[in-house]
Amino acid sequence: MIEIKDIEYIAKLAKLDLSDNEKALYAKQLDSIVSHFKELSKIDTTNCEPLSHPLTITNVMRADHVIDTDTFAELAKNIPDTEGRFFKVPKI
Amino acid sequence: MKSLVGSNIRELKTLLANKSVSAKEITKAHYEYIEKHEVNINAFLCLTKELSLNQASAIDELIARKEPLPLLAGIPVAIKDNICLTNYPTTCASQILANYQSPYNASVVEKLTNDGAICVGKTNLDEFAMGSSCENSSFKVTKNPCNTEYVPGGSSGGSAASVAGGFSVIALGSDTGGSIRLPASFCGIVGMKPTYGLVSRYGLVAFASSLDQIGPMGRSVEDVIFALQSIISECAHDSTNIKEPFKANLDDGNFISIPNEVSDNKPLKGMKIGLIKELDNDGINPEVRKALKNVIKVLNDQGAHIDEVSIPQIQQALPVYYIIATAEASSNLARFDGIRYGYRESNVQNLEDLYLKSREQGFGSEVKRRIILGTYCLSSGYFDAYYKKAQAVRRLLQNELLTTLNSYDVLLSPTAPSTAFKINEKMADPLNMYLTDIATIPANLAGIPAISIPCGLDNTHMPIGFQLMGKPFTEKKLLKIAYVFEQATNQQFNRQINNN
Repeated sequence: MIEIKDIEYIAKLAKLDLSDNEKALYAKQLDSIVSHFKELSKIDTTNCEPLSHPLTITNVMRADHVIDTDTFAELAKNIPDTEGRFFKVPKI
Repeated sequence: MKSLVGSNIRELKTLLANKSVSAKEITKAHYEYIEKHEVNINAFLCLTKELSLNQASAIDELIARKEPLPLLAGIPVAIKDNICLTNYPTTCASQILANYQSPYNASVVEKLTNDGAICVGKTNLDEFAMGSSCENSSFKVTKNPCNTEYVPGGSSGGSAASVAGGFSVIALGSDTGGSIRLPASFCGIVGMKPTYGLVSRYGLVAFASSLDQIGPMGRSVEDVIFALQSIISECAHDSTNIKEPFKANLDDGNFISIPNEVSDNKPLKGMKIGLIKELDNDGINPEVRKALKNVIKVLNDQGAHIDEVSIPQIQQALPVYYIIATAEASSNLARFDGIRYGYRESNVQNLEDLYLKSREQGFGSEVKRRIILGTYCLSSGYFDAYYKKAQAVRRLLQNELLTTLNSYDVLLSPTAPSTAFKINEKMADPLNMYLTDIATIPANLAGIPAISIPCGLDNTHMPIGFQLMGKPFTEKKLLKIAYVFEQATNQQFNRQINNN
């Protein structure tokens, strides 16, 4: 049973400031969704390696050449607040 | 002369080549049509008229200089708004990216542009591609051009509506659990999810990285063939992009030649097709099953041999998908913190407060639901029971699919358990909405290619689609069968544009 306090804990991990209405709604909906997830416990997965990626992937290396990637001026258009070449944030 | 709107790529290429029309005329005709009908459909979040007219001028200059025309010269294309287009917004239909302008092009956009395609606009989607109806957009609800009381399907609903509505000839979508194929099926067009890694994801805003794949949508199989041919490429910016993809299948990777390679008599002779038992049962709408029966008959008449096959793990695909997709999404969407780009709440006490409030305000309801669900599945105490277990069952499903595909060329099923539903019909019940993806999810989990092809109309005249899945990098085989079906049924099920 997923309760409101569970949702509050998860929301803290996910950095979401949920409203009381949202907490109640998500608790109810998640409870119903997660009960379907429990079906998986019936499947025998002994000796079955978890699959994290659909195809075999290999490490990709590029040539060790210097490329100029200083695109700060273009990126700055999307930054909410800056000072010089820095991201400006409120006090920590 | 046939109207430019509603023409296919082959027709437009011929008109351009013999100078019957200019690229600018094609572009203007599509914009006139958009300006008249978009108000009823809501396919677009942003139109890129200035860009498209410039692109059209460049094509007309090539024609004037008698230079060879690239593959998609002058062809209007729409781009899903989770794919980056330089100096235009990429919003993912989310408030958190409402003011975001892409500083770079996605690799697929570069490819289309280099091939001469004309970008008409960025299309609506479920926020961050999370949804099956296009109703989760935080800006507008796209309507199905076949009947505006119905959803176009999602999440690439705007792209499907753009193609089905005649606003563009082709469109790009992204498919994490069916987001290209489902709206293609609901709107009566063709949509393909390529093999994972075939098309670069660079410039696609990540939802679930092990499942996401960009793919083409069009009103005919041949239009999809042209679009796919353009967007396949090696990309240094995407480490999961496959080099020499077709080598192991001895496929030449030339899709454009498919229409010439299909023989007149029994073109599918020797093909073995497996009808998936678990996707042809009481859970599927009777009219969809009836249409599927006709598909079997047509493919049989064309020489294919069809058997019923069983993929038992498909019954677990839905929980596996919703655990893995939400877990990956909760991780991918952690980057939206209000610091480097995107929405930032101004009324905050400190940095922590800024994260909490910016994300709470910026994300919509379905996105937050999935972040919570994914975070829950990854949290201490639940990780093994949910996330790791889902990955193990994902392996079992992939094994079953690939083993069956050793004996069969392709697997056949409906694309969706039903036809399009009405706007607002499923919004209050997320679990019921998730069930819409039951037939499309397995291809994403296994990383294999799949295509949806129109195959009929139900009694309310809404389109029905069927799906073919194949082994990795057997796109050509899928497209060939799709093309043969379309020719055999004289394209009668494909969406036609009645442009008055």
